[in-house]
Parts: sequence; C-alpha cells; structure tokens
Amino acid sequence: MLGLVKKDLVMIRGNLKMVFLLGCILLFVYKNENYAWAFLPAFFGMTLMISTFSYDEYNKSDAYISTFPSGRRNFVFAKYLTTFLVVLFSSCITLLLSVFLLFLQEHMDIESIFMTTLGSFTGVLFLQSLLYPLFYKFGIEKGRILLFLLTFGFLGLSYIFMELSITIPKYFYLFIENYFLYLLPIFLFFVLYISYKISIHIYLKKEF
Amino acid sequence: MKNIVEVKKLIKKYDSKFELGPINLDIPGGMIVGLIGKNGAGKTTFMKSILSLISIDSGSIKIFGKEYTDDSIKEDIGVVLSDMFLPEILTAKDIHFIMKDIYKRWDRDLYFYYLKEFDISVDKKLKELSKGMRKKVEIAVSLSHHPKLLLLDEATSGLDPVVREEILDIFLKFVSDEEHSILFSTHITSDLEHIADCIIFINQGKIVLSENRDSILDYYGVLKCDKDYFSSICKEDILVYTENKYNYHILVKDKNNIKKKYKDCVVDAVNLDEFMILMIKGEKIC
Repeated sequence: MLGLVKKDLVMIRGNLKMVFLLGCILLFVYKNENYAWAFLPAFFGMTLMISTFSYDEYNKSDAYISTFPSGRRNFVFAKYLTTFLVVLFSSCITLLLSVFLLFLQEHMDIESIFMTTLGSFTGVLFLQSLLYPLFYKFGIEKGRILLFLLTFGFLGLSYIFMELSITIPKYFYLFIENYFLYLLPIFLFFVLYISYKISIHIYLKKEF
Repeated sequence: MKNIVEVKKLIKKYDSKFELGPINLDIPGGMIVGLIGKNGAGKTTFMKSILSLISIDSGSIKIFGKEYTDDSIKEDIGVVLSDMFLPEILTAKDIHFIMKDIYKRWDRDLYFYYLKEFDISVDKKLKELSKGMRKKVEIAVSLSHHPKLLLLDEATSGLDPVVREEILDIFLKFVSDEEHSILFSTHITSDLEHIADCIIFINQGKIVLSENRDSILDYYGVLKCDKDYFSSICKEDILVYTENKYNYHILVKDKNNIKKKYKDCVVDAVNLDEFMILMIKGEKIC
C-alpha cells in the first residue's frame, strides 16, 4: 500500500511549482482579507488530490492498479490516507505562514487563524468525503458535475430555510459553540469512515 | 506438466447481449498461448476475467491451482494491458520508486537492465516517450518482479520489428524453464507464428479453435481456384471458402494430400492472418 501512497505523492509533486506560484499570488492578493488566505493551502491540497483522480482516469490506471497484489481495498485506503496526509500537511503550512505573517502584521489574531485553519482542514476533508464515493461511482467528470449540483442543492435548501425564517435553536447553537473543538474530530472521523466504506463498496464491485 | 491457469466453463454476459463463453482452457507451464480473434471477439474480456478486473457469471478460474480468494496471487502475474498503465506524468524512475513497495520480489537491477536494453531515458515522463517506448516500459515493469505468468494484451503493438524480435526473444527465454507461461493476445499474428505453442481463436465470445501452432501452419492450407474448378471440388474437402472477383480461396485440412488430389490448383501454406480471415468471413457449404 505504501507504493500506492507514493504514487499519488509523486503525481502531486509534478504540480507543486505551479501551486506554489499561484499560492504566492493569491496570498499577496488576500493578505489583508480577514484570514481568507488561511483557506488556500488546504484548498490547494484538495485540488491536487482531485488531480490524481483525473490522471488515474485518463490513463485507465485504476484498472492497471487493480492487477497489483495490494488489491482494490488498499487502493481506496491509500487514496484516503494520502488525502488526509496532504490536507494535514497543507494545514501545517497555513500555521507556519501565520507565524511568519504574525511578525509582519501586529494586529493578527492567533486564535482566529487557528480556527480558520481548523475550519478549512475540516471543510476540505468533508468535501472530499462527499466527492470520493461520487468519483468512484461515476468517474471524475460526472462526479464534479454531481458535486456542483449538490452544492447548489445545499445553497437552495439554505435559502429556503432563510425564506421560511427557520432558525437554529439557541441551545443547539450554544452547544456547538462550546463543544465545537471536541465534536469536530469525532464528526470528521465519522464522515470519513462512512465515505471510505461507501467508496470501498463501490470500488470492489467496479468492472473495468 | 502442471497447469498454471485452469479455466472451466467460464461465462461472462453483458447487457449488450455479448456473451463470452463457455470457455475451457488450461495453460500448462512452459507454454505460450496466443489468443487471436477480431475486435470485439472477447479476447480482452477473457484477459480481464483472468485478472478479476470484471466479475464472471459462472465457471471457475484457477491460477497456480488456487481460486482468486486473495490478491496475493497477483504477486506472480506480470501484466501488459492495452492502453492501461500508470499515469503518464510519471517517469521510469518514479515507477521504480513506486513498484518497489508494490511487489515483494521487485528487482531493481533487472528493471534498470531492461530500461537500458530498451534504450529508455529514466528521467523522461512517460508522456514524453513514444508509444513504442512506453510499451517497452510496461514490458520492463511486467517482467521485473519475477512473475510466473505473463498476461499480455497487445504487448507488441507500436514496436518496430527489430525491438519486437528482441522482446519475443525475452518472452521465449521467460518460458524456457517450463515453470512460466504466457497468455498473449495480439493482432500482430506474425508474433504468435514466431513464439506461440498453441493458438486459441475466439470468435463472438466462443473458442472456435484451439490447436497447436505447428498443426495450424503445417496442416491447414489455402487452395486457390477459379469458379469452374470450385464446383468440381469435393464438398468434404472444403472447410470454409471466400469468393472474390477472380477466384475462390478455400481453407483446407491436410494440405499435402489436397495438393496431390487437386494437382491443377495452387495450395499455399496458411498464415494466421489468412486463417483468421477465412474462419471469420468464410462461408461453409451446407
């Protein structure tokens, strides 16, 4: 399985220069925008991992890799593990950047940066948990379209909630606010686990 | 001789009404089995079934005497698949870096030996290599973990005749100890004429012929005659025939006897291409 993790990391390596350049430009543009830049590394991490699906699909590597002794189950597990590592690494970069910027901008708030980083880390992994089963089931192109539809579905639903003046009960809001940091890892682990199980189920039945 | 692959009553059905099988096939050690057939005949489907890339509807496949219960069997299978490989942004060196953690018996020295023999730049991305060069990398990978069985689907397509001959020699060497076997599907039938021990001809999902290569090439022949002569030929001697503007081509068995029997006609040796065309396009006399 280590070989499969290495495969994705090697593929990502090829795009790092471009991402670094783009990251520098966006960091410069958003440097005064309320920590919006803190989302960037995790977002790039996600984009890089999605590109590995594109490469695999384009070269029909999934079928070829399925002839390896590591097996299909490990192929899926390696993808999730690499994703987690890449997003974690990206979030570490955010924290390092924050420390660096802290020396340049005195008004920066460490807690806000930490929360933004944590938020982007969770958000990106959550999004990928939704995406991966779709990619395995429908392929990268259809998966992207479905994600697009899903996002608009959520936005539409939120709009309807707002229009109907449905608000979140206060006690629920307070509960989330107080226990956010503790709930987050449990929530994330749960979502990732369910997503992984669905992906495995799809991939084991896949015909090439 | 111990069988390396045993396929019994294999059936695979598709919604498109295409059905592969029932297929029965044994591949003993030391043997190169050539699969021929037109596009869509079921050759790749058969290969994929053996590799468990697709599910089968019924039948059984045993490799090295074991059913596909776990993937560790694949440690002993080398694969070259038509248009399926690792992402083309990888270099040959990257592939070594990956494969050494995929196969337990990955042989670094052997891999780089093949790359050197095939004159492949290890630092170039696969997409920067020609189609033939990429194929060579695939072949190098398939051989470098010391497999016992090679499954080759169009493994020599895109290669020039000189390199093809080199690679065919490697394949012959691979099976020389009788513990290794090759299942080789290709449209370049001349490759099979050189190296295959046995030819399997698949048409519309069924095995229509499974014979020793030498039997096909030595025993069968093509009798060529005009329309008048055709009507005088014994029906029992005609396996299948094709008619063109000027003459008839008739596939016959036991060509040496046929030559004696029909002295006024030309009876040529058949090659696998002609054999396949006649078997597919030829008409039978009812």
